[in-house]
Parts: sequence; C-alpha cells; structure tokens
Amino acid sequence: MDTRPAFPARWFPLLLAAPQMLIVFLFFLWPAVKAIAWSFYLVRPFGNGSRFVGLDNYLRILTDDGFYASLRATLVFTAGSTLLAVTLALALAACLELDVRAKRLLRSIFIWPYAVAGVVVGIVLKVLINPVTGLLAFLNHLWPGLWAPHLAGQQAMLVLIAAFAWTQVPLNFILFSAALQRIPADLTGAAAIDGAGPWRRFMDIQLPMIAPALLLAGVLNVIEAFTHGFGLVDALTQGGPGRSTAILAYQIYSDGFIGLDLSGSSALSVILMLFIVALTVLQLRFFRQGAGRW
Amino acid sequence: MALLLVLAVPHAQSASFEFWSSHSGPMAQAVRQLCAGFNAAQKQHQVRCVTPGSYEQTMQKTIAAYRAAQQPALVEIYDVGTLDMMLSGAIVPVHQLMAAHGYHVDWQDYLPAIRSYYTDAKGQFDSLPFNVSTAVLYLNTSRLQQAGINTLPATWSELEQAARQLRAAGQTCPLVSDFNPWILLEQVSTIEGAPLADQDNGHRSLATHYLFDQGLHLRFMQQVQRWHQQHLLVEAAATRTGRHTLAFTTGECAMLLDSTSAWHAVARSGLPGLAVLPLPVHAGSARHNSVPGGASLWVMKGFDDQVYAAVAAFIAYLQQPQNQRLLVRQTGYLPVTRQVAAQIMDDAGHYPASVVAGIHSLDANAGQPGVGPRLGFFPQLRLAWTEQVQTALAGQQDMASALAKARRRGDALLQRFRLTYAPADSPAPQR
Amino acid sequence: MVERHPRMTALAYCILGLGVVLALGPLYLILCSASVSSQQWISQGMPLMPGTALPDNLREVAQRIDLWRYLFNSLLVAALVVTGKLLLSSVTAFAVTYFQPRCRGVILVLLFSALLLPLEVRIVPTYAAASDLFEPLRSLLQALGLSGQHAVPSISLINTYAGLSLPLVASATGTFLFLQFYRTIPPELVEAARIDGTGPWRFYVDILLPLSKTNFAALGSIVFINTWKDYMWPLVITSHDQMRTITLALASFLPVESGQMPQWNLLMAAALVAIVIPAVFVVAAQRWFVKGIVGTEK
Repeated sequence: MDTRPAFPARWFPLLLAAPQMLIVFLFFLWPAVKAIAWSFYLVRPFGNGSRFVGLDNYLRILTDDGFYASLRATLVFTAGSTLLAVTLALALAACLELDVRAKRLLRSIFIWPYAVAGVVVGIVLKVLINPVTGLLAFLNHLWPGLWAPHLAGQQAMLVLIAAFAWTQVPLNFILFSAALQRIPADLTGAAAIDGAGPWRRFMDIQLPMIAPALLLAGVLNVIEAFTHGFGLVDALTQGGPGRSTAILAYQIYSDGFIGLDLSGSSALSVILMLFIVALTVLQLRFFRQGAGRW
Repeated sequence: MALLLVLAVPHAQSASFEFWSSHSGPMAQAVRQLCAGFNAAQKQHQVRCVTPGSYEQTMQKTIAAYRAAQQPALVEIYDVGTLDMMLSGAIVPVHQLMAAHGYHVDWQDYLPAIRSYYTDAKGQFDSLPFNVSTAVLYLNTSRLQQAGINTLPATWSELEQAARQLRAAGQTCPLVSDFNPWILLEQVSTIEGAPLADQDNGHRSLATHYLFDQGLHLRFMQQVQRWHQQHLLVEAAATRTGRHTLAFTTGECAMLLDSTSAWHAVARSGLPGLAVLPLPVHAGSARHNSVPGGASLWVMKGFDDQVYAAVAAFIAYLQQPQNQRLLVRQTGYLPVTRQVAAQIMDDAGHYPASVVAGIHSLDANAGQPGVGPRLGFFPQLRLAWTEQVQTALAGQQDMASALAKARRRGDALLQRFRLTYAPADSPAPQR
Repeated sequence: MVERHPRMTALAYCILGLGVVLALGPLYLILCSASVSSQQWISQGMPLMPGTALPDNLREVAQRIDLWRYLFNSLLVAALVVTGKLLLSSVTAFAVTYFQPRCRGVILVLLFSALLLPLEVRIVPTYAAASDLFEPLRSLLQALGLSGQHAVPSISLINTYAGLSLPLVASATGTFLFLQFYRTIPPELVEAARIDGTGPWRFYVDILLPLSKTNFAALGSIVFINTWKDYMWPLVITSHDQMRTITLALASFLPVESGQMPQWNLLMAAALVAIVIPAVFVVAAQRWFVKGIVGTEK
C-alpha cells in the first residue's frame, strides 16, 4: 500500500473529505459530546443555568429498579428475537439448499419482510392482538382474561419478540444463504458419495462452515434490537404494561422528549452507547464488513 | 368591542407574531376561528397560528426553539408544564404584559379553582388560562333505567351499587376508564381535599414529598382494584374499540369517567339518554373543587415592544366574553371567568351538558379552594403511577406496595427537580 | 444432489411451507382487513377473507390524509439520502485512498467513531443540533472569549427536507466499503492516468465511477429501503403535517382525540400504501440488495 501511486495534491483531498467530516462532526460527534456533557449535569430544559452533579445521574440510574426493568426488557427482547430470527432463518436457508423447487420464488417470499418498517408491523399487530376483536380473541372466549397483552407483560413481550424476529429473518436468511452457497460443492458431494444423508451433511459440514455467518447475524440482530426496536415498541406498547417492554432506546426517547429530563436521558444514552461500542468493536474485529448497517 | 380595544391602546406600529397551539378536531377549528377573527377585526396586528404537534411535542419544540432563539411569542403549554415554564426564566408574566400595555384586566374574576392552580405566590397570573377541562362522570341513563336505577349516583358507593345492578341486568361493562392518573389520582384526591404532596401540593416550596400512597388515595385505589376484579370497572384496552370514550359512545359501557372535552364525541353518539355529573365523592366527605386541566398561554421573552403590543391585543381579544363563549360552545372546554360562567349557567340550554357539570365541579367550594398539584417532573410521576398500578391490576403486587413504589420514585423525581432549580423556590398561590 | 431422501425433502417442504405462511400471512391479513368496509369490521370483527372494498378504502384514505404528499416526502428524502451517502462515501474513500493526506488516520478514526453512535443513542442532542445548526461555532466563540457570537446566525433544520436527510447522509460503512473496493483497482490505471496528465477529479469521474456501478447499486438499494423505513428521526425532526414521511404518517393515522372512531380497515389500507413501494423494490432489486448485505468482497 505504501508503494501505491497517489495524486500529489495537498489540499484537494481535504476538500473532498470535508463535507462528510462536517456532517459527522455536526450530527454525530458534537451531539455525542453533548450527551456525555449533559449526563454530568442537572440540565434545565430552557437552559439558563445547569448544575454540575458529577456521577450522580449515573449513580441514581444504577440504583433505580426502573432502569433494571428497562435493562431486563432490553435483554429479553434482544435475546429472544435474535435467537428466534437466527433459528428460523437458518432452517429456511438450509432447506432451500436441498432438492426443492421454486427456489427463486421462495427466496423472494422470504426476503420481502425486510421492506416493512418496525413501526408498521407494530401498528398492524395492534389490531391483530386486540383482546376483543383481534385474531386471538377466541382465547378470551375459552377463558376470560387469558389473552390480555395490555395487562400481562410477558404476553406483550412475546408479541414484540415474534414481531421483531419477523423483521430480522430476511437479513439473516440472506447471510446464511450466501454462506451456504459458498461451501464448495465437492465437499458436500464427497460426503454424499460416502453415504452421508442431508441431515448429516448439515450437521457435520454446512453448520460448522457457516458458523461465522451465524455469529455475524447474531451480532447484527442484537445491534438492531438495541436500536431499531424503538419503532416497534412505540407503536405497540409504548413501554407498557408496567414498563415490561420499555427497552433502553425507548426509555431514552421517553425521558428526553416526554419527561423533559435531559440529564437522565443523556446518562441513559451514554450507557447504551457503551453497549453499542462493545458490540460494534466485536462486529468489526471478527467481520470486516458493514453488512446491513448502512 | 374591537374598536374599543384599538382606542384603548396607545397607537403602536403594527406587528405580527406566531402563536403555537396543539390541537386537532373541534378545538383546532375553534383556534383557527379565533385567530382569523382577530386578524379580521383589526388591521394593525397579525397573528399566525401554528400547530407543532401534540402537547408534548409543542413543549419540546418550544424548548428547542428557545435554545436556538427562535421561539414563538405566544405558546400554549399543557397544565403539567406549568412549573417548568414558571421556573424557566424564559417567559414574560402575562399580568405584567397586560399592565404594561395599558389593559385593565379583572384577574380576580377568574374562577377560584383556576386562580389557585395558575397563580404565583403573589396571586398573579404568569400565564393565561385558555382551555380548561375537568373530569366528569358520563351516564347512559336509558341503560341505568333498564337496570332499575332511578337516582343518579353522587357517591362512590352509589356508583358501585349502580354498577352491580347494571351487571346483574346483563351489562358486561358497567363502568369504563382508561386508568388515567389525571382522573383517578389527581381529580379524585383534590375533590375531597386530599393533597398528593405536602407543602400545599407543591405550591409552597420545591422541597416537597408525595403523600398519595396513604390515606384517601390508597383506599380509593384498593376499591378500584376490587371493582376491576369483580368486572364492575373495565379498562379501555379490554373493550371492542380499545378507547374508553368510544366504548361509552357505542353503548358498550354504561358509565364513563372522562374529561369534559369528550363531550363532542359523546354528543354525536346518538345515545338515547345522557347525563353528565361531577365526579362522585365518598359518602360524608365535603366536596371541594376539581382540578382544572387543559393548557394555558405563555408569552415568551425576546421580542420587542411592538410584538408584545400585538400579543397583548390578541390576549385581550381572547378574553372577551363572546370569544370565551365561542370556545365553550364549540369545544366543550370550560369558561375561565366567573362572569362568563354565570352567563353560561343562565343560558344552560345552549351549552353542552358537560360544561354545566364541569362548572359545578370547578366551583364546588367547601370553604377552602382545593389546590391542584404543582410538582416537578410530573409527567414522569404519572408514568410511574401508571406502571405500578398496571402491575397491581395484573395481580403481580398489591395496591399498597404499588403505590408505595410509585411514591418513592416520585420523591426521587421531586428531589432531582429541586436540585435542578435550586436556589429558586416554587411560587405559591394567594389564599 | 446425488441421491434422493424423500423424508428429508418432505420435511424441508414443511419447513418452507411454514416459512411461506409466516412471511405472507401478515400480508394476507392486511389485505383482508384493508378490503372490507367499516360496517363489516364493526359487526364481524377482524376479517379472515378478503372483501371488495379496497378501492373505496384507498380512496377514503387519500381523502383523509395527504397520501401523495407523504409518498412524495418519503421518495424525496430517500433519494436525497441515497445520493448523499453514495456521493460522500465514494468521494471520501477516494480522498483517503488516492492522496495519502497526512490526516488520513484522523479521518478514519472519526469515521469509525461515527459507526459507534447510532442515532438512538444521541437522539436528543442531535435534535438540538439540528434545531440550531451553528451552535458549535457559537459555543466555540464563547469558550474562547471572542465576541461575534451574535453574528452567528441561528439556522434550524426542523421541518425541512435538509433536516430530514442531512444528518443521515454520513456513512462510515459506505466509506469503508469503497475503501476496500478501491484497493482492488489495479494501480496501473492510476499510473496511466498520471502519465496522461489526467487530474484526480477526472480520474474519479471517468474511471472510478463507472467501475463502482455495482457498489453503488448495492449500497444504494439498502440505503433506499432503510431510509424509507426510518421512523425515529422523522418523528422528532418534523411536526408539520406536510413534512411527514409515509411511515411516520401511518403511525399518526389513528386519531388522537378520543372522540373519533378508529377505522381499522382504513388504517390497514394506509399500511398497504406504506409498504407497497419498498416491497416491490426489495423483490425487484433483489440482486443488488442481497449483494449489498453480503458484501462485495469474497
């Protein structure tokens, strides 16, 4: 790379890079610095004086069971939807590698959910899960109060996990399909000649060879759940019932924009930032691609 | 009248300004009408009426705008934002503005409940009460009669009895509510003179603590939980439409706890028999006034005198009795002055029934006006209350622990609020 | 495949069938709900069979809300963001690869840090930044004790197309993608250009751009879909109805005032409108889209 020929201009490259750098500064770095700064103060919404409190905001958050409720919600939501999305996508991708027909059509069908925004899924689901007029209303005819996602936190969370997994399967499916197709055909062919059936081939050859793709999908799903889960939660549950679905990204929005608590919201932002940093470093260390995080 | 307005004010240059409000539906129409009316009535000043979004959105857009020195001259902020606005250092008190521009406003004529909610320690208004609502009980009288109930409930035990009879007569949803803390926590407590917090519900000082996990509110919520378990009280999410007002207007539920501003929907429902009453009290309790909800208008700093003259003229226009009556008639919001309230009561047939009930509710006076909450980070307290009550209703904890948890969180919020604004102390109303 | 395993294949078809039901089921339900009349909803609840009222419902939705405006906003913002991202990413990568500027390391580190900060973690201060664009300059002047702060204009991007698109236009992964790609360009091309006396900009426009077409298509299609789906940023940056995107408008379709009856059939019809364009795009542009996700190396 050092011996690479380059153009000699000095200031031209800086000029070229300037627009992107400017935007990164104005809309990424400056706000991040602000969030970190605000998290050490008690900020008055209208300005006119703020009070420095050091780590108090963090201490308060870390001793607040509301925070742990949000954290628990975030982890359950993330783990649940990721596991579900990875498993489902893996099953579909693996089956599509077998001797089945209409592969092109099936592929299109399995990736179309990528087009649907989380918030749209949430809105549609709100109608579908209505305890009186929705799809599962018959459960309440069998046993009154059986299906009550507006009251039972676990049911609301189940709905969220299923919905979010639905939106993540296309991404995983694409990654897994590509990974499966990269496996040299002679490997699987040789195994088949040796008498290994499809299941054996899957367990012994395909699965181990696509393990990196599984890991990548997992990391990407987790990052998506941490961040884009917001739309789904805002449309469907608004963090309820009883804060059982108030994932961190939603809580940050709620504290900042509804509660007008700039300090608390900023401290939560910094905590979420740390999670994302850890995950992104993990992602980039092991996989040198952006893959879906544009 | 408008002519008198112009003559009363020393001639100033014309100016225009922005007025931000947050409504849709009939209220938005009424606001548009008022703005257009003001612009048409005189050629000197112009108001531009803008709707940035919901109450919360308008609040944070105002904050962002103020920080960027792009605030509107006049903005409508909801009731729970009152303390934040008072302490912001970003406003011009409205009584000061009107006095500075030569208007003589009879501030004492405002209803006592409204005065006690909005005035500062010296009894002066920082903001102009604009659209005021309160909580009332809507009743489907034909269903009540079918169930053999002939007297309308005035106490909670009578309401419970009515609900039982309705249920026995086959009504699956006797009473519906969206479990809104504004009604169940704030209104119910204030009507019976039980403060939510000490220091006069936060009016006297910022060093205040919540009290609602004991006493009246705890007993009331335990009662509510019992009603919920016995299916006398149904939550909105468990109805066909998912909305409490609609559950009532479609006839699914026979009784409704809601705001006076739900009148527009209720009136269009075509229900055969309709009654509106102030909220019930516990038997034997004296009835105090309820809490005025809604929003008030705030004048923002940072403009020159000409703009303020225009704003003052607009405010004077809004305060005119016929314009107050217009607002009331079209939207079901309540009048803010005694003069207009009396005019409406004299002509009650031409006004929504909810308004009459609302005026009764706001005017009840057991000697001392009931004091509404003036507390910091109140939206977050409401959220905390809702979270805990939901877990109690779902059977995961009892109501006492739920309220205790909400109180602890509320106290932490209050303390943080106080620290944020120290050394300022809360302005309190005049007795 | 070499041999036949009928049971495995049958199982595979079952799984795939389940996948089809899960993938298309919601779409089917939306279609059913969007094609019945309000009366049918009220009397029979959620429909499981499609009806005939879809055109009527769509017409009514278009009457109630400014559908065309929202679609236009979504398209415009998506186009702006795609163009902006493609341009900025490729140009920055070009600058870093072919010039060896001294602050190359700084640029890369700054870009990397941008990757670590998704919008959700900086939503409140980013909103503040967009409402007062030159605030950093003013703060800098203030911190340095210089006067002239008041001369700095206060520009707000709230409720503007710039506000909707500009903050989304910087892309670290896009830049890294092009960095990797430019590394695969044979150095002889650059040598030849220098010998010919071609300037760097000409090199970029005439040689690099055509070679990057595949990357543009791949990156562009993903960015298009993701921008269309974006909810949180449009939610905070717009308050005027006419600036809303279709995704955002759908969320606010249900009336806020408690008095109005929610018409689920209309809501579902509006949802259909919100998803038809990206859905068609995903299926039609599959090739590029998949390429963008999988990455163009290997």
